[in-house]
Amino acid sequence: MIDIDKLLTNNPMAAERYVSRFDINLLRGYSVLGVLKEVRNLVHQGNRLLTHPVTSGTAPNGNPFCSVVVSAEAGSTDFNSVSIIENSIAVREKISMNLKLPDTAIEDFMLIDCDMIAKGGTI
Amino acid sequence: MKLTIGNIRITNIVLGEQSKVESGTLYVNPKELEAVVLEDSNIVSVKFDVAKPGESTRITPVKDVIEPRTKAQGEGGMFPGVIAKVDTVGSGVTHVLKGAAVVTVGKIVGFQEGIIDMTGLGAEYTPFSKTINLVMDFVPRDGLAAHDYEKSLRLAGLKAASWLGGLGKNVKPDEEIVYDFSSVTEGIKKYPDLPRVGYVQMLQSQGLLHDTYVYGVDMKQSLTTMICPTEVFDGAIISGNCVSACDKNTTYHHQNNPVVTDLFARHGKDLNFAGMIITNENVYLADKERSSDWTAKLVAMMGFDGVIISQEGFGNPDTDLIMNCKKVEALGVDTVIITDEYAGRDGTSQSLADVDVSANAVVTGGNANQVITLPKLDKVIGTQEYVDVIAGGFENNVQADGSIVVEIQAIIGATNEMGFNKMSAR
Repeated sequence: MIDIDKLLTNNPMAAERYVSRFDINLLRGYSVLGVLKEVRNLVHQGNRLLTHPVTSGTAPNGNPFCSVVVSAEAGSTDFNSVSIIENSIAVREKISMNLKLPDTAIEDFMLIDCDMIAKGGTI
Repeated sequence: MKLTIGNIRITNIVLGEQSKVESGTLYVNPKELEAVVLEDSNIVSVKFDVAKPGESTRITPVKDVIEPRTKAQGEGGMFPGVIAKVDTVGSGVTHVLKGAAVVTVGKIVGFQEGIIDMTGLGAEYTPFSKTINLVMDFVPRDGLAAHDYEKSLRLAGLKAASWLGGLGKNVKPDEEIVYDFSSVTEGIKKYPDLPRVGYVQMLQSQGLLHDTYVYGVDMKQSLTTMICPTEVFDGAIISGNCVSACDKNTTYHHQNNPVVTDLFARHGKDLNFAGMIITNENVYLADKERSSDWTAKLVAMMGFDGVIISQEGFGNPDTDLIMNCKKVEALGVDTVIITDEYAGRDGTSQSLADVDVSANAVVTGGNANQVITLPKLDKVIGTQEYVDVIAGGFENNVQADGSIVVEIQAIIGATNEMGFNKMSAR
């Protein structure tokens, strides 16, 4: 059996949508920073980052949902992954997430986060 | 390739009986235009409105802005591979209804869409307060999924702009501008002593409402490639995305790419505009590596002496920007990058999510976190329902007097990363 890559997410929509594609760790109720720190733990254990953990071009305080894919296998520490996750955490720590979101916006944020990891250039 | 742009100055839009362009006025029969955009069964109805510079009007949530154009002579048609057939564009004669714009409105993903104010402080931050806007506000069918809604709105806007542009096909333009792009060998022979400057345009391609299409191809699944700069004037690149409004490249921006027009303006004078590369901004790290490797490879193959790189969006695309910059600089080729900043409301935070010492020539479009107050306006086209969650808005930002406090990232085109707007820093 081929190990499938891991998805760390605080987004229940992503956890449901990608259930057959990734080994899912749903971090329900975690902040984005909390998810990133869990990702960092895996990266330091030798898993490689496969997606970029900083979200792109969403609202001022950022999307409250975050989904990051890391490799199934854990080898020797990948320093590029370490550098990216550490930098992402540093960027995220500067952002305060104090926006109270209406329900419709919450679903939209979940959808955007979900879609970001849907497909890359590689088939 | 040689393309003549014929600008027909539009100074007014009138909704009326007969659709035509006459004496600088674009007359539109709403029934005829409705028939064009309602071919799509996902759209139940559409409401047209005209917003003019100086009027007390707010347009929100804005999805896209498109300039009406048509192919008057030569091969191909507007928005190839999407509206027109996929034939290669970028040559012949293109007529432009200069001064007019189609603006599509819809709450696809409410918080991601932006604001255009036609008067007041907000108007100073968007170029589309200076255009006469034909606004189309759509009602989608019930239960339409966000992906389909986005696509329907995207296509409706393009169809409308193409149809409206066609009204100017047989109208004599007020001015003509010729863009003549030389082949590699012609350029070297003609301008042996001028530096060969290339342009790398990064296209947002990260997923739902983060996509850009080239000849109808979703750019996230394309390798980095080359395009003739004149093709962009014919709508070869279209926006399918709604990243934060301030640094989203609308289709209008692509049709009027200022890096391309400025490089053409200096071509043969102090530089040789030698080529244009288009690349993507993906989420997967392997894609980022591959695309930036290909950017550098194409720069080397083309033998550019210098490269301008423009970005779209912020956050993880900053990584693509810096990867492109580093890899091109490593070839010994100078780069200038065009970006914008998220430096916090007081402007003291780090501006980009990624940085490198090789990025030593940077043009900024401004700080997207800058806070301004938009006055209450008399008329709203669309809905203000999303203003407090729109990118740049924040909770309780609507004041007692009806004014709205927002970061300028809520305003369409405020900090454009192709340098289309007027803000920068020295």
